Amino acid sequence: MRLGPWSRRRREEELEEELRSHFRMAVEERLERGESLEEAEAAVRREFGNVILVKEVTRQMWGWIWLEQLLQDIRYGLRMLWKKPGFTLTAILTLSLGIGANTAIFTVVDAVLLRPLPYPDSERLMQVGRSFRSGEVAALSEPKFVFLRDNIQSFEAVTATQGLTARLAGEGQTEYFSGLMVTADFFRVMGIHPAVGRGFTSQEDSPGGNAVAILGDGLWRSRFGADAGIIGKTIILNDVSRTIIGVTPPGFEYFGSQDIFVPMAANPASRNEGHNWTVIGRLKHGVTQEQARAELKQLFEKFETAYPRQVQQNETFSAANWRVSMTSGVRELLWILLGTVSFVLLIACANVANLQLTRAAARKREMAIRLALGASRARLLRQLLTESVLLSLLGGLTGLLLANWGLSAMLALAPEGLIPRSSEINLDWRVLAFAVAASLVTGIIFGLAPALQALRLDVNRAVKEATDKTSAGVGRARLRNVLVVAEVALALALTVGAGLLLRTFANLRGVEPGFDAHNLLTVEVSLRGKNYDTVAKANDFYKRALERFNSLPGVEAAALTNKLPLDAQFNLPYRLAGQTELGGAVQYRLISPDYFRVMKMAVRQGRAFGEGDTAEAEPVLIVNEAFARRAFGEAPPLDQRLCVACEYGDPAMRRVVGVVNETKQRSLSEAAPATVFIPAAQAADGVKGVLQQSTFVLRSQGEPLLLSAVVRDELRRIDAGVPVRNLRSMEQLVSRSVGPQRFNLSLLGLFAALGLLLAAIGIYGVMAYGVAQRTREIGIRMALGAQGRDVLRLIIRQGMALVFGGVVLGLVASFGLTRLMASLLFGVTAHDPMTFAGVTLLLVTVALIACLIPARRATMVDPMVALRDE
Amino acid sequence: MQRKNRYQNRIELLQGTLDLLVLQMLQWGPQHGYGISQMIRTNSGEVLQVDTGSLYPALHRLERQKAIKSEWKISENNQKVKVYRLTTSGKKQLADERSRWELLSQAIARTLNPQEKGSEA
Repeated sequence: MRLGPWSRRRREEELEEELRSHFRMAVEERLERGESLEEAEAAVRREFGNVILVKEVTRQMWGWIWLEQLLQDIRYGLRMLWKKPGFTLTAILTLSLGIGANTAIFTVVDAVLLRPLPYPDSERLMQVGRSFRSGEVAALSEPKFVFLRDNIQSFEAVTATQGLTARLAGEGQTEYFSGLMVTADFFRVMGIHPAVGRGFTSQEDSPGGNAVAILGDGLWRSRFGADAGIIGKTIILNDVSRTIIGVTPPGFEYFGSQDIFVPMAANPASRNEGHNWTVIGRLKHGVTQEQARAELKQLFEKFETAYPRQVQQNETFSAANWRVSMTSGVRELLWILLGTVSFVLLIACANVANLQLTRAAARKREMAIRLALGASRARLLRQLLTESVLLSLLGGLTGLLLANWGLSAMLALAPEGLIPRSSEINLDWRVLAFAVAASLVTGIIFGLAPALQALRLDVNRAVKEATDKTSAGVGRARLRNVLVVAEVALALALTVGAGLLLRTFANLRGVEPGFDAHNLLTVEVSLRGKNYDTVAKANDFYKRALERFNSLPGVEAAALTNKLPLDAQFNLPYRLAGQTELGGAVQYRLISPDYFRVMKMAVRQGRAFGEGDTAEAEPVLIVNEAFARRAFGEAPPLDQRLCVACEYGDPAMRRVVGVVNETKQRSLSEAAPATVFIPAAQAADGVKGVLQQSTFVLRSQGEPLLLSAVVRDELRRIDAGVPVRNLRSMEQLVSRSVGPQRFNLSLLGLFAALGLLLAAIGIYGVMAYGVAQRTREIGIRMALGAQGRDVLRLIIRQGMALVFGGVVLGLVASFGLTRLMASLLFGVTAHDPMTFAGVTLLLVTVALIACLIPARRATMVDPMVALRDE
Repeated sequence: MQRKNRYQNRIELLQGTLDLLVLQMLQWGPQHGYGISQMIRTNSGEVLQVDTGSLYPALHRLERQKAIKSEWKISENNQKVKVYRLTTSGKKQLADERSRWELLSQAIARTLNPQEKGSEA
């Protein structure tokens, strides 16, 4: 059988010709029998029957009919959509919002949670570490890593990494880069080879080994011009001269892109208590994750027996699939977001379905005529569905554009480090496939019910009448009501979620940090090199800087600390006098005497540091209330003795001379940690490194950031070679610490607002249409004496009945669903009655307004006009 | 709609049988569509009046099955007509359908008149 469009045209023509010749011959025969021309033609035409149908049925015998019908449907659908631009644009806009939001969130979910990591055979990579009751895997310490590395059997290789700030000296400005300390097995575990040169040897990766470094591809290109002869050249990294021995392949990332790699040089004899090393292992072939975990538990027991003082209660060794553990922080949030945008899409579908229903009523006649002409219902259904799918594909197309734009915005606004693997997020074919699939499903969802409704009609009446009073019309009205109830329920659920996050955010912002964060400017310095290689020299710089700061107009007071609250942590072990056991780890701070005054912290007992607390004077210490509780319990803290960082170069027993209030450290939602303060002047030589990286805090009279330039100037005047960075106000730091909660709120709030808006539009649309349909009824009522007020009440009552139905449904749904977001909340329970009540009130108000507008229009119906019209 | 149903019914009832009739008519030589319908009417004693809605789909279906072949010819009155003829496989199909039809009609006749059976109750 010939195929193709042009042969199809010919077949059509031939069939036409064939039927014509049949017609002619039949007429001729009748003429021969003596009938007149008109009689003959009429008779034959009657015999012929429905020529169109004949053609159609015949065509069906030709095959390939479905493709032609589909093309026909598409052409027809496009024409119909073009004819009603208002409907089409509204529908496309609504759908693009729904599909676009879903595509954007799905892109993130896919890239972050679902796709395997960008390393060869990445599902065999596990993060190895210690875990407590919660089961989450955390960083390891040096001795624990060395122990595991030497004893573990389940892994081909394990590597430990820790980030470092790499300061490259060179011609021109000193620049900071993102660096990584790695063990020699790092590249083997990751499954990559350096593109140039080689990896580290075990000699280089041990204490005292050769000082070498490997460059990241990006840095090699940007700073060294992709120099082919880079191997063997040296760089000065953090004051150490290192030889470059390799360059990583382009595109290689490890928690983001890294510029420089240096050997970790793990010390087998180390007893360092800090747990800062991220350990990744590659499972051996044939070993399961369960087996690895079992071996780790056994190894932990061995370790505990050998080094009982290095382990805590409930601690053990464990491992988790690296992709899973890397993304565990945002997993819940992302799934919740996906659920949220699905709701928004459903509301959008309901709106478009309602639009379709309205249009179906208007197209009754068209449908009836086509049915009368012999089209099958299945054919019509297919054609209506094609229209819907066409609409949603168009919506999906614009949605993709929206998603692209929205995604960039979302990633730009996300707090740094919140979304892991963010560099892998991009729109690719999987996202495209998702968008297409979502569009198809959407089109069928919102198209099916109205299409079925459209076909359920009494053809005779439909052709004659124009009103929608038939039973099919009633079915349509019921469907519309159901859609409205569903929309309201979904919108309520969304808004409850957003409301809970709003309260969470407000609660967080309301938390007392323990100090006065207003009008504080902070600036970090880093003292390196020969000029500052003793505690005395460093303190000299700080003293001069503080003097200059204090003399500045606009500065009330200035002070020094090694770490700010809500910024980073730093802890060291301590030991109480008279004990042989270490007490644990405590936040360690070196401060200038004015620190508590500048931060407006309260000295609860004893005194603050003063000028008398010099290096020669008695070693002293101030603790915060959290520490006092932990170390001394009920006993009075003053005059107690303890040493902090005793094995790290500060063996002196210090006397507690004061107690201050606690301050939040890691975040506003976590409890304040135990902290000890030591005068910077009394810093021991062993903690010199800590002192050299400190931060100034200045209390200003006005806006703190206005002092930035002046402060920078003063520091430069004292020593231009000292790098100065992170000039921030304390308020910026506080704001940054609630970044994640703000982000959650923004996203969920945006989608909830969108859902609410769409639902309001949906309610308005249905009410307006209902009023238009009932113009005659309203006219009759008014003619019979009803006042405008009565009509208003009638319409609103019926509308709000739907809304209340939706509210009840939504409240029930919310009750079940908010449990899922419990981990995102702070200070509110998932079933917080105030939030539920407030949101219900908001929704009812919005719905009322949406009902009011068409209701008011109903009151303005002129009974005479209404009764005359049909 | 009534008229549409009539078409459906006719097609369903006569589809296989109509094919058989058409093939049989073409046994007697090539013929155009109108001629075939006339022949069926005549040969059946005016009982079977095949309308175009059934005839032409049947013709095109048979052509797709390669049981018949068509070509355009100029008729006696200088008009263009599409004429169909049986193919070799069409002849075979005709023979098969005839014997099947015989079998079927005998079976139906026997079922409607069960007097020949004596042994069963």
